Amino acid sequence: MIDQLNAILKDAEGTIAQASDLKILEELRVKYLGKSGAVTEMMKGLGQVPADQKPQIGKVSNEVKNKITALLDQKVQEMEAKAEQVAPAGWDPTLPGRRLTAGGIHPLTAVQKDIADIFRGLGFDIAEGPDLETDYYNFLALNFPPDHPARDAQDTFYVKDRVLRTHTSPIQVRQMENKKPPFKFIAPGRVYRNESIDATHHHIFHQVEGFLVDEGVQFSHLKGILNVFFQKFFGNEIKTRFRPSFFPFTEPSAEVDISCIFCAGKGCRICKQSGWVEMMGCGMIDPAVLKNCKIDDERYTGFAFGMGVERIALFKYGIDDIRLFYQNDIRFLEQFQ
Amino acid sequence: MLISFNWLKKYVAVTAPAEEVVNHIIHAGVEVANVRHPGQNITNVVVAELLSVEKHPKADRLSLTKVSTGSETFQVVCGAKNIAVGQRIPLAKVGAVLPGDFKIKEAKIRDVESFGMLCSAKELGLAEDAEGILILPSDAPLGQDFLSYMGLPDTLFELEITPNRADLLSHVGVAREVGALFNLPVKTPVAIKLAESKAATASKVKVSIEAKDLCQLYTCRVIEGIKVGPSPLWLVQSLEKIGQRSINNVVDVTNFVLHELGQPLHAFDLEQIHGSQIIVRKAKKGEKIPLLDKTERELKEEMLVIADADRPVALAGIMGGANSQVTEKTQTILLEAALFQPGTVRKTARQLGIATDSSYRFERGVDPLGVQAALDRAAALIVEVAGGLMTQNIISVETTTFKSAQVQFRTARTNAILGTNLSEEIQLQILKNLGCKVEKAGAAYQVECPSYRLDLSREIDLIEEIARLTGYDNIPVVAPRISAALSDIRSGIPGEKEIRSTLHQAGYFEAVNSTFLPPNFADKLKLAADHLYRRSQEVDNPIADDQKVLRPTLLPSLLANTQLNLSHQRESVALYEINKVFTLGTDGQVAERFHATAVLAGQAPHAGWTNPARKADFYDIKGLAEDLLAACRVENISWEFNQAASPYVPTQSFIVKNAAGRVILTGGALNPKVLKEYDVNAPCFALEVELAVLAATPKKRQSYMALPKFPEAWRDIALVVPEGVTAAQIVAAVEEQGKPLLKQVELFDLYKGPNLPAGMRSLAYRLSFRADDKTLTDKEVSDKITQIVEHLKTRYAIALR
Repeated sequence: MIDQLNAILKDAEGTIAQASDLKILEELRVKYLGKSGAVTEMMKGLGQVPADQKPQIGKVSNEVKNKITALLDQKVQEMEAKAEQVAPAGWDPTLPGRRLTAGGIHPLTAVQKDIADIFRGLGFDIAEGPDLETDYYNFLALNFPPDHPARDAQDTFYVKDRVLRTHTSPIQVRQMENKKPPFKFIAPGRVYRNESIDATHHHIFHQVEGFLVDEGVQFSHLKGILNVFFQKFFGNEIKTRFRPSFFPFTEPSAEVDISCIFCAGKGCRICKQSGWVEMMGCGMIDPAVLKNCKIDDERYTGFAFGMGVERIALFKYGIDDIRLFYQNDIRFLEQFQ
Repeated sequence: MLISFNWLKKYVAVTAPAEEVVNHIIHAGVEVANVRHPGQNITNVVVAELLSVEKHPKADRLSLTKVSTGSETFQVVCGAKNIAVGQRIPLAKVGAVLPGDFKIKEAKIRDVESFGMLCSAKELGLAEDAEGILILPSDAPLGQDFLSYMGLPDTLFELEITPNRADLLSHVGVAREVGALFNLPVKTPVAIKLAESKAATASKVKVSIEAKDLCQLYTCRVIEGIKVGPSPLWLVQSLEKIGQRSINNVVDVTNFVLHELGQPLHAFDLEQIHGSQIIVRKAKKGEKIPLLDKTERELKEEMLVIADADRPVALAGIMGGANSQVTEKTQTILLEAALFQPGTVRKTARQLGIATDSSYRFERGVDPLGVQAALDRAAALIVEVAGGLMTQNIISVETTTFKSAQVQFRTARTNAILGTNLSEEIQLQILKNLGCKVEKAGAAYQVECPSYRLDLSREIDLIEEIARLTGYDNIPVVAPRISAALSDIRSGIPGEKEIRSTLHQAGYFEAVNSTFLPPNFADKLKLAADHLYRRSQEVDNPIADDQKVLRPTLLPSLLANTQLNLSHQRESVALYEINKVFTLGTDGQVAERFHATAVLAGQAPHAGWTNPARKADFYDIKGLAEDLLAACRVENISWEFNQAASPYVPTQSFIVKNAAGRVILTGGALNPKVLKEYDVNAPCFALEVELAVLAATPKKRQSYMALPKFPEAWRDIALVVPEGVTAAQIVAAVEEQGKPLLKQVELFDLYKGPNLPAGMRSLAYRLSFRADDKTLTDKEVSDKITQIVEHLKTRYAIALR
């Protein structure tokens, strides 16, 4: 019987080694170990074996069963491992995947939204105003007297008794007049200047205005919030620099420069070797503007800032011609997905 | 505006190098556009005289010269044509260095030895372009170092002065600023001795101001017996360095004082002033004036002029008249220094399109207390450089007496506004450095602001000065507390988010276009005469004729973008824009609304190797409309077909309205004639969404529905549909008959072809049935199908295929 068992084992070793696929292996498992498999049949006959031989034959038959099981398992594993490594004929995983070619947002809108998102996170709301403004909101209420040279910087388009707003600052007045502080707004929008077009100027462009009015608002807070803004927008390593400037509707007024993102402030072509790039104008809201909005300028103070979306987008993406924004060449647009 | 550092140092003894001064003034709020260093990197150039000029023996175009420095004589070969014996010229001696590290050596030029070089202004780095050798005045001292003779090297600052800082529009003004920044005293120039004749000025000329509100002060002097001629070198140099052309000694002095003190002046030839009368008045209707710029201008009645008994002789504060200008024959001048109202100067200058150094300063405001000092300074200088004697006394007519601004100032308010902790001492010292007079007044201070700082009249103005001179860098950086108070603003364009994400998924790129259209856009779009888009508004002062109209639709811009992209061999163009459009209301007011407009041309988006390219068609744009409406979850909307007018093809168009009958969107295939106008050579489809109507349309609430407990059963039916029966009719009929078990009807195939009778088409639908309370039996479903099919047969003669 032991010889028979060994013969079965030998036979199994041969057939298993030669098996070429998983299906054959399954047949072999049935052949040797199934309900009426060769080894099973042998073990069924164990009852007729003399008692003194029983332990030994029992032991051998178990060993044979275990060995065949192990051989089968090992062969299955080998085959599965092999199957994972061998690709079917014609298979080419380097073909491109199936994708939906999505469209995307314009870089100017993207920048505008990024700016708004940061300020929304800081607790600001979004406000809007009309593109066609009155002289009052666009100039007079913002402390630009008629026939004042401060108006020279803002060549204006006229439409009947209106102007196309030259900046987003009129939204300040519209939001504040006859209402009670606190005010905390971001106001994005399109603005218009009657000037000729070149690589850095266009007669339409976009601004984001921001302002905060409350009790105890200080210039130091303006520095604080713009510092946070620029670090969130361009990265934590960005430094800001405030320089005195002049706008009729803020006092003290400032220009904000940030350290150049292309050379980390060392000086390069983009920042004209200065290490700094002018990014926006800002200041404490002039008491005259608060007065025009019927706000107690002794009790309340506020700051305002305004940035050019195109300027920031040109700088952020390293674009050298503002006109690219308005051509809408898809080869340009798809770079900003 | 150019400021010469050497000139500046006459008034403030600043010892810091130019770079440090520039850095300080930038941080005090003055933009420095450019810094130049004329005369830098030049050595060993001296004043020399030409003793002889002969032709070079071997070169026609060259000259052989002998030049003398007084102590030495050199032979120099020169190529310039403008030289002659006796002239004084700059000689770069052997060993000299010129800008660009150009070293002068002994040389042999066509076999003739040359010891040095005669220099042009360009070679000396003094001019961008110069023809010929720089000829110096005949009194230039021989042998003197050229640089010291020319007041070089110097540093020129090109400053950009903000409109509030009129006081910085002169060398003395900048010197005051530098003095305040470096804590240095400032010496203002004073008229030396004013020698006067016995004749009274008042006997020479009568001055009256008629336009009292437009001229606060008019002062003048008369100088007799002058000799008009070229200016001395110091005056020429001073002016030329800062980019001013020398004209004659009298005009140059007025110009010099303008740049020194900031007060514009004008010199008239008194003999040309009719009736010896100066009248400051408004122009008369139709009056004309010949100006110094050789133009003649017709004046409007509100324009302020200086007139004599008969005619205007100057445009007040802007430009003098040619009829009274100082010429070589002039012997007696009337020298004017006045204060004109800034607004009137600006208005007139802009209306006539004239901008002068004088108008620029008057528009911004000149020092009211500096007028007479400037007049005396100029008069004394004219006598110095042109001779003559001034008559006795100044004439001064004043209509408004200037009062210095008095400001209540609290040092605590400075710190409250800035967030600083600046001591009283520091704050008051800054104000004093600026020329303010400060007196204690109770708990606060009374500050008298200097007359030249017209921008200082309120407490906040003084606080700004303190911030500026302390340096913004010294203001702390503090995070503000932002109140959590809710605003009543509902921000953003309604539906924008949903529309953008739908369009991006569908493969559309956002375009941003100008607001302005050419006036012929409506004709190009083939719009009917009563089309809403024809009610557009033009800009009064457009930048160009083809950018005149405030666009009432975004379509023309997007069609232009489409054309551009197709011209780049792009096969599929899918663009959209969300922006404002403008239409003229019946009330004459221009209304602003937001449109979202999408354009699709060429192939449908999303083509790839498993998704073969195909031409875009009507169902692409209709599907986009369906997706947009679904994303916005609008309720009770209705579709109309075959109704939209040009630019759409009516039979391939749709209009979606809300329950109130207002149009949410319009779309379809664009009229090929329109496409031809825009050079779009591909089928093109568009849709336009009225965002305000979309926002006003009721939306389905998003709410959860319990998941079905029982399974769904579905059947596919293929219908043979006769011509004239629409898909919408079939679906409506199927849904009506299928109630209440039918849950969904979905078209999955459309067939037209030879296997069907002529005019017929086959539509195949999958119908899904489900009950909420049990699993449907096969018979229940079959009965429903039979009912539906029977109905379609009797109602529309539709057969099963």
